[in-house]
Amino acid sequence: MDYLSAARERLIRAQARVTVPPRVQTAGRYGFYLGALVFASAPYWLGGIYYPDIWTDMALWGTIGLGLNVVIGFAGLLDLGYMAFYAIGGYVFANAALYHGFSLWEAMPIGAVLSVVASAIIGFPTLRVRGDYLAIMTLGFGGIVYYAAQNMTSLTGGYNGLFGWKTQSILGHPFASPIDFYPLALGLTVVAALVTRALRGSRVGRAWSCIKDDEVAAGAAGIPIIRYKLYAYMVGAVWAGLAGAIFAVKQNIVSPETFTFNQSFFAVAVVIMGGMGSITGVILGGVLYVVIAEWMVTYTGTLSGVIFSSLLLLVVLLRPQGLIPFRPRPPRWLLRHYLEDPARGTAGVSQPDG
Amino acid sequence: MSLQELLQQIANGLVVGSVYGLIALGYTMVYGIVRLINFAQGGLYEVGAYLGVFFFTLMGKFGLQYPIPAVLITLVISMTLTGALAFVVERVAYRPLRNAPLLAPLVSSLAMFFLLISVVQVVTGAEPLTYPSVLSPAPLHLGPIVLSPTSLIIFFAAILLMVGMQQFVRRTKVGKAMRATAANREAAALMGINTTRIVSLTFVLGGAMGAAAGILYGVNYGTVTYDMGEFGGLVAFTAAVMGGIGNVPGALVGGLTVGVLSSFASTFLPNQWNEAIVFAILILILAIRPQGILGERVAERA
Amino acid sequence: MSLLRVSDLRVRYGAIQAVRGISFQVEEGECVTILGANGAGKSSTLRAVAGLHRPSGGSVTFGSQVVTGEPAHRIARSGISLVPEGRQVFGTLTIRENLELGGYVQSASANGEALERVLGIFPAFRQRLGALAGTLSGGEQQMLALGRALMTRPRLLMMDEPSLGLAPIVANQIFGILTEIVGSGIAVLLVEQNVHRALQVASRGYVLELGEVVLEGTAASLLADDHVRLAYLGHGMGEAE
Ligand SMILES: Nc1ncnc2c1ncn2[C@@H]1O[C@H](COP(=O)(O)OP(=O)(O)O)[C@@H](O)[C@H]1O
Ligand SMILES: [Mg+2]
Repeated sequence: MDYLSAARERLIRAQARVTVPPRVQTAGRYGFYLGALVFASAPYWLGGIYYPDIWTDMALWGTIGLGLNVVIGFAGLLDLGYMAFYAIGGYVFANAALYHGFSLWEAMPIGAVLSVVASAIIGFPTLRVRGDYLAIMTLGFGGIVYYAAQNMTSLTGGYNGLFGWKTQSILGHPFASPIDFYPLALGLTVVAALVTRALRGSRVGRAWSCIKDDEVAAGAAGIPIIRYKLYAYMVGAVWAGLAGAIFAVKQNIVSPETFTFNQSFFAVAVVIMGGMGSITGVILGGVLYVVIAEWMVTYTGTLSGVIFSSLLLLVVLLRPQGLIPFRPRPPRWLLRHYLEDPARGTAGVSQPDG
Repeated sequence: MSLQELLQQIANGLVVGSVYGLIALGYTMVYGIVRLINFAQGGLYEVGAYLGVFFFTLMGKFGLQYPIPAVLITLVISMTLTGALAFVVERVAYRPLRNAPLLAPLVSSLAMFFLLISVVQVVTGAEPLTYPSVLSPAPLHLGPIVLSPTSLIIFFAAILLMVGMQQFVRRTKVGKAMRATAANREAAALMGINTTRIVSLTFVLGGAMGAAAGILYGVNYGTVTYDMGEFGGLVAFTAAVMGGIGNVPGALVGGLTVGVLSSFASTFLPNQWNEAIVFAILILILAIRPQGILGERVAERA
Repeated sequence: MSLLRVSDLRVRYGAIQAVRGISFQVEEGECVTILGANGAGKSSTLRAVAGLHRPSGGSVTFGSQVVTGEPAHRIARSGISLVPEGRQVFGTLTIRENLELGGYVQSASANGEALERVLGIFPAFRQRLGALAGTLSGGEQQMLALGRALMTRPRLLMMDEPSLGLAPIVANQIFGILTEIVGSGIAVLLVEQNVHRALQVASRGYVLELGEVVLEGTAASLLADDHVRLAYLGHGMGEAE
């Protein structure tokens, strides 16, 4: 199916959606927001240490999903070394806090900037190659960062990792218990969701979507492909860099074990299972990941890898668009154009183009 | 470094390189036909290595310890079983997605890889397993170079398998059908070639080569670990690209080159950097010369 | 009974309906041509008959067998051979290997005979059996593709625009060989842009427009038809050829 007829079909489906009475639609949307709010506030009314900790993990994995979603979901680039940026965020914070007396606030932007710099350095040579080569190169990059974390002992503490910085605080309120980190992690998820959503609808986002749909056509249409791919890669790195710092503070330690290939694989699984390109989808993917991982640690032990890879395989085979698929909506003016004169819409569908 | 050390490092590199070359053969054959990096290849290599331990041990129990027949029987059985597994991989993770965008089969083969190594991890409890020592460890002196008889046999076995596979693809009728399918799948079907079956066969042969590599690796180093598929898979992929992916003789050239390079890396740098260096070589090769040393076609598929 | 009977054949690509229910026959030993402008659906028709694209409706009967929707390799084995648009030789294989692959499903001895026969038709290949097909010129590749198709010993040979992009002299050679093939009793279904030549070789023809048969008849009647003359032969009524 060519691009035009795909667009038409989408338009028809969008039309069908519009025919749902607006009141029902609004009610549905508010119901969704209410549900999300109840879910997000759960640690406060569930209390204790366990739930806030789990919910913080969900928020962090939601952010990881959102960041990687820019790379995979928006621009269509398979990145198998994404957690390298998470590692950079964590280690930058640890170094800044331990040896230079920086606070989390000061260290987070530095970590994000260094993640972006790293992504540009690695992205520049790699983004010219084909999609499958890129996947392998990012895998190699993730490996290098992992081994660097193990071996550059003066910077990373080697196998043991870095720990022992003083308790971080915000406005005199210390980050001591998991419930203190939760709003921070959740805030980051919300910001990441809003920013990446805005980006998706922007000129850059449309360029990404063109590149993802058909790289050759996008190039022919004058889109500077490599530059836009690099943007996607860099924007994606920001969120891992920021989340990595919060994760370090929460765990009280940064060590190589958190940045293995397995973790990067799980990040990819979060995006694919949640729904490439969909904001709600990848956040849900992150939440599901934490729930399943937690459940598995408790009940199934080492089966986690088996279950995860099988789930991912099932999703790719049976529901390749993910649990909550991203349905790009045609621009409003185009919709209005067709809605005002339904004949135009249907005429456009039945008629094949030459 | 003295000349003697240099030669020794080259010899060591050639031995590991021949094993990488065997894994690379699996990547390159599958890639040549379906233009897909079959990530599962690293997992098949690992499964083959573990099946090897299992059958060696089993034969030991039945008193079949005379080394060469034991190696041969183990090779044949494990290669067959792993080939069957590769058949399943193709059926499940590739065939339903062959008209989907490239990302889908890439992710599914990645998931397959992860599934295979996770199953190995669960079944073996993540413990490294020991290969029975096959030959007497007395080293052989070849001029200035010292090699164990085992590694010498491994080298020649790997080369033999690779050359055999190359001849199979070049000379036999089925091999020609494989090359025709790789060159132009539709035209091959018009000749009456059942290209679906050829694709299956290619996965199976690739998996069998991976299993052979896993066993030879195990015999050479004495232990296998559940994460060997990850590193081995990556290095072998580098080898495949280096030799020009899709190019069957290239897999051997690429494997030996990567083997020697990583052997040098481990001489000049502290041991723990060995793997990072291999990854760096991989990125450099892919970035600088994606068509490989032999420079055969790099067909574009967006 | 006709050798090939196609009835109400439909082919679609997503929302695009490329062939909209066409019917035609090819008799044993006959040469039939399908004419039509670019995008009329000629290639789609041949590809659907050859099994490269599953038709969305209609039926294809070859001899006494219904082959609709069968995979391409089965149809090839049943005796239909397509020389596809753009030749599609195996560029990384030698001339000999290309020809031998044509005889893939035959016994070695039958293959040897077929190879001799094909080399008799294309003597230029005899000295160059070891050359890679990818190094040949366009015309040579077309001949190789034709030779490869003949190696399958087809009962029906389908050719999609064999003269596309070739110099007139080379195209002449191809048509000469095609005439010989028809003379040898193999049925041919020919798609050509060069309407004049096609109607010289073929005994009957169908004119395809926007996926539908708008005209059919003997070569002579089509040559005389005003619509054909105007639309495909580039001159109007009354002009002498
Ligand atoms: N693979 C394809 N995908 C989508 N549309 C196609 C494809 N192949 C052909 N078409 C469309 O089908 C119609 C008929 O094409 P084709 O059969 O190639 O015509 P012809 O051979 O007569 O020039 C054209 O509109 C063409 O654009
Ligand atoms: Mg055509």
